[in-house]
Amino acid sequence: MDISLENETLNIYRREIEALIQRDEKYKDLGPAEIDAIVRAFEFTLKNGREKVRAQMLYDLIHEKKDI
Amino acid sequence: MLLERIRLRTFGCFQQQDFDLHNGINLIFGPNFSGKSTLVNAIFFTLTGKPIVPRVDASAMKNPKAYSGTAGIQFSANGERYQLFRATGKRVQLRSEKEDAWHVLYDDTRIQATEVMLQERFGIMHEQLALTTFLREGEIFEFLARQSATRRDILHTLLGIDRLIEVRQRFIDTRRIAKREQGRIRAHQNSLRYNAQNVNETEIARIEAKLKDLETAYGAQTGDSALIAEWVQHQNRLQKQLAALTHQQNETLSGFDDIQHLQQMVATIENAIQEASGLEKKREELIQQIGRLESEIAALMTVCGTLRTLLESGKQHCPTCYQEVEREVIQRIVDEKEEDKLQRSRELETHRQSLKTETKNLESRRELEQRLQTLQVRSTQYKQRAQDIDKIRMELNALSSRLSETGVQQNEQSLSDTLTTVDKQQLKSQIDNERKRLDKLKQEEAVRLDRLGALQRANSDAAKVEKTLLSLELACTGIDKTIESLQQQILKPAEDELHHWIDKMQLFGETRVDLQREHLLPSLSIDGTDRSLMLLSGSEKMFLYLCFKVALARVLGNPGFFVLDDPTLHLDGERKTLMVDFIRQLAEEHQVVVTSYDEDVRVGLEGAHLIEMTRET
Repeated sequence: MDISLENETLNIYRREIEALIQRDEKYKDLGPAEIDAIVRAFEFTLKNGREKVRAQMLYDLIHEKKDI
Repeated sequence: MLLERIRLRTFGCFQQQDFDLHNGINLIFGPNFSGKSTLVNAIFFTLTGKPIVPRVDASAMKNPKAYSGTAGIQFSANGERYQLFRATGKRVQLRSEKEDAWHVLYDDTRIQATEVMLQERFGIMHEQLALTTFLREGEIFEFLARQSATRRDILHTLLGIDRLIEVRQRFIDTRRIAKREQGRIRAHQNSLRYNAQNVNETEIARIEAKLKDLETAYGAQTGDSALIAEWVQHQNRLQKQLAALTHQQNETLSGFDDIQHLQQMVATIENAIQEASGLEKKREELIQQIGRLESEIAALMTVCGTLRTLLESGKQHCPTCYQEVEREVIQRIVDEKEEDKLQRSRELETHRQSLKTETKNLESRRELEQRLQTLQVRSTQYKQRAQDIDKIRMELNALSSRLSETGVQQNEQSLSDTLTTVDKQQLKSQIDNERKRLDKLKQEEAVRLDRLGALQRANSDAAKVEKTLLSLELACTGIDKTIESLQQQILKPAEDELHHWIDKMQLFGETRVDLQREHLLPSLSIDGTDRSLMLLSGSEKMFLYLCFKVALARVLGNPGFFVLDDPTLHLDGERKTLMVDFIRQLAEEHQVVVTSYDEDVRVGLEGAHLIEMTRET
C-alpha cells in the first residue's frame, strides 16, 4: 500500500471508530484509552502484515492497553 | 517518472538495441511484426516482472535463439536518474547515476523482494500500472468480460482493501482469544458465586445472642466462678490463636522490615517487568532474522558449490545453458558470493549473541515474575492474617470487659446452688455445642469472605474482557466502515474525473457515471436511461475506457506516463482525429508513448518524437 494511502487509511479508521462510538449506544463504555489501543493495534497489523502479528499480541495490546 | 530509453538484449525480436524516448508524445510507428508491441511489453515487463499479456510465461519473451532475454529502461525520478534491468530468468538490477557513472543499488532474483523495493522506491505496483498507465490491444474487451468478483479483487488491491481485510481477519482471531478468556472467567465466577451465596452473618449473630443468654443462665445457676473459668479458658485459647497468627504474620514478612517494605518491593518488581515487556517480540524478530540469514547462507553455499563444480569440471560450456564458461568471471562471482556469505555469517553470529542475551533477559524476567507472584501471595496472606488478628483482638477485648464486669458482680453476689447437677450439665453441654457451631460458622464466614474477594476480582476481570470484546467488535466494524469510506473517497473523485473527460470528448449526451455499483466497471446513465456498455459502439467503448483509465490515474496516481498500444485500431477517420486530440491533451501533463501503423496518426501527431520501426529492425 502506498504510504500516503496508508496514512489516509489510518486517519479514516480513527474517524470511523470515533463516529461509531458517538452513534451507537452499545459502544458508550469505550473511551479514549480504548480508541487509542484499537488504532495502535490496527496500525501495527497494517504495517507488519498478518504473518508477523499474532492474535495474542493484539489481545494483549487491546486488553492491557499497552504501548507496542 | 520520465522514461528516457528502452534497452533490449535478446528480447523478443531484438538482439541488442536501445530506443530513446522524449518528454511529451513518443510515436512508435511501423508495420505489423516490426516489434512495436514488444517495446510496450518491454517497459511493462521491466517495471512489473510480468508480461503485459496475462497468462503468458515470462520466458516466452526472450529471443527464441537465446538462453534468456533482458529488458531495461532508463528513467529519471525524484531528481535522480536510474536504469532498471530485468531478465526473463528473474534477475533484477537497479542502477543509479552518480558523477557520470552508474552504480548498482539493487541486484536480486527474488520476485517478492523486488516488488517491495519498486513499490517503496517508486510507488510501482503491477495492478496499478496495468489499470492506470498501459493500454494493450484487446484490453478493453477483457475488462468488460471480467467477473464482478475479479474487478472487486483488483479494486481491493488498488485501494489496499485486501490488506484491511487481512487486518480484520486478525481481529476476528483475537476475538476468539477474548471469547475463550471470557468463558474461563465466567466458569470461575460461577464456582465462586455458589460458595459466596451462603451468607452466615445473621446466623452468627443469632447464635452469639443465644450463647450469651445461655452463659448468663449458666452463670446464674452455677455461680459465676464456673462461667469465669470457662471464659478464662476461652480467653487463653484466643490468646494462643493470636500468638500463632502473629508468628505466622512475622514469618510472612521474613526478609522485610514491614508490609510497606514488601509492597515497595512488589511495585519495584512490577515496574521492572513492565519495562521488560517487549522482550518476546524482540526475541522473535531475532529468531526470524537468524532463520532468514541461515537460509541465505545456505543458498549462497549452494550457488558457490555449483559454480565451483563447474570451474573444476574443466568443461568449456555450461551443461545447462551451453554458453561458454568464462572462468575469470565465474571465479569473480564465486569470490563475491563467498565475501557475501562471510558478511552474512558475521551478521548471523552477532544475531546469535544478541539472541543469547535476550534469552537470558527473558529468563531473568520470568524469574522476576515468579518472585512477584510469591510476594503477592505473601502480601495477600499478610492482609488476611491482619484481619483475623483484628477479629480475635476484638473478641478478646469483649471477653476482657465481660470478665472485668463479672468480677465486680462476683463480689456482690452470693453463689447459687439451687439447680441439680443434671441441669447444669445439660446447660454446659448446650453451651459447648453452640460454641462449636459458632466456631464452625465463623470459619465458613472467613472462607466466604475470602471467596467474595476473589469473586470481586473475577467480576472486575470479566468487565475488562467484556470491554476488550466490545473494542474488538468496534475494531472490525471500523474496518468495514473504513473500506466503504475509502471506496467512496477515491471512487467519487474518479467518477467526477471520468465525467469531466466524457464531457470534454463530447462522447455522449447528459451522462451520469457510477464506478461503485459494478466495482470499477463504469455504469452509464445517458439522458436518464441506463446504457449497457456492451451496446456502445467499438469506438465509444475505446474512448470511454481510455477516459476511465485517465480518471483512475488522476485519483490513484500513475508513474507520470501513459503507454497506449495502437489506440486507433478499428477507428474511422473522424474518431482517429478525436483520438489524436485526446493524446495531445493527455501529453499536456504526461509523457505519452503511442504505437501505431496508421499514416493518419503519424500525420495527426506531427511534431511528436518518432521511433520508426521496420520489419528488419
